[in-house]
Amino acid sequence: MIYKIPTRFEEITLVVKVYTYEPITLRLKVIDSDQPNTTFTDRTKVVDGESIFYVRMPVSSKDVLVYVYNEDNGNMQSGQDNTFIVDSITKELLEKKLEVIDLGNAYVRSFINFSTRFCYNAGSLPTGNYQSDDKQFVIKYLPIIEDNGQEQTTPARIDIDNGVIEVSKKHFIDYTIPSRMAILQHEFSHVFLNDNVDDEVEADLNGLLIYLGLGYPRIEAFEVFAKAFHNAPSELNRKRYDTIKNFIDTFENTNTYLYE
Amino acid sequence: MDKKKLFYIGLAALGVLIVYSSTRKPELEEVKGTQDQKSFDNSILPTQLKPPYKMAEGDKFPTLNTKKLVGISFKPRFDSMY
Repeated sequence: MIYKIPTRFEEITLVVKVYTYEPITLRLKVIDSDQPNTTFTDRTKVVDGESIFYVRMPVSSKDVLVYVYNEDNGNMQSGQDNTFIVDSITKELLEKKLEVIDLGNAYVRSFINFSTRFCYNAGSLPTGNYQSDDKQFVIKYLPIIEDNGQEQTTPARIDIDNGVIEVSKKHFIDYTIPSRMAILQHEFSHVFLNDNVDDEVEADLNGLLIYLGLGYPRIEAFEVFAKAFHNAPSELNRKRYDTIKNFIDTFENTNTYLYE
Repeated sequence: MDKKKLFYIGLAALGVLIVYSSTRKPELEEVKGTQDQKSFDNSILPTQLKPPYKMAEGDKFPTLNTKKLVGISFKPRFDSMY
C-alpha cells in the first residue's frame, strides 16, 4: 500500500499505526514523492498485533509516499493483502536535542547546513565538486572512490590535509537521507571536532552527537554503521559497533559536549 | 440574549471543535504507483534544502584552517579498513 502524505518541507515525526492478524515482517518505506532516489526511511519490523512506527524527519519534502507492505507478499493495494491494515498515519512534532550540539562553533553550523542540503539532494545531484556557502567545506561527489585504480568499499572518506570529503555516488544513491547524514557527520568530526584526527571511535561519537541532536532516527544510525562494518569486519569495527550501540542507548540521558 | 451567555456558548463551541479536530483520524489517500519523478524541479525547494553550489572549473579549494593541522597524508575512511 502506498499513501501520499503532505509534509510541506516541515520537521516532523511521522506516526504510522498498523495492525497485523498474525506475526509478519512489515516493511515501511518513506520516500520523496518528487525527487528520485530520496528516501527518508526504509526499515522492517516483525509485528504481531498492534504496532506503531515512528519516523523522525528533520527534513521532509513537499509530499511523501509511505509504503507499507508485508515483506513476504510484496507491495499490494489495500484489499488485496489481508494480513495487516494501516490504521492511521499522523504527524507529530519532532523531538530534537539541539542543546547537545555546539552551535556556537561556526564550523558546525556551516557543515550542518551544507551536509543537510547535500544529503537531501544526493539522489539527483550529478557527480562533481560541491562547496558550502562559506567556502569552508568541499565534497567531491565521485562515481566511486578509488585508490590506484582500485575501487574502495568505503562510502566516504576525508583528506585530513585539506578537509575535502570524498563521497561515492554508487553508495550514496541507495542510502537513506539519515544514513548519508550519519556518514558525513562522522567524516566532518575527524578533522574539525576530534582531538585525535585518526580516532574512529571519537569521530563516531562526535558525529552521532550532531546526528542524534538534530533528531535523526536512531535505527538508521545503527543500520549504516552495521552495513559498513559488515563489508569490513575487524576487531576495531566490532568495538566501534558496541560503543555506538551503548552511546545511542544512553543518548536520551546525555547532555554534555563530547567535543569542545 | 446577553453578551455573557453568547461568550460562553462561543467558548463551548470552540472547545468542542478543538476536541473533535484533535481526535479525528485523518483520511488516508492511497495512490496506485510512484509519481513521475523525472520532472523534478529543485527550484521549488526552500532555501535550507536547495542543492549546494557546484564548483566550476578553476574554483579554488579551501585551505584548511582548523585548530589542529596534521602534516601527514592520510584519509580516514568510514569503514576503517586501515
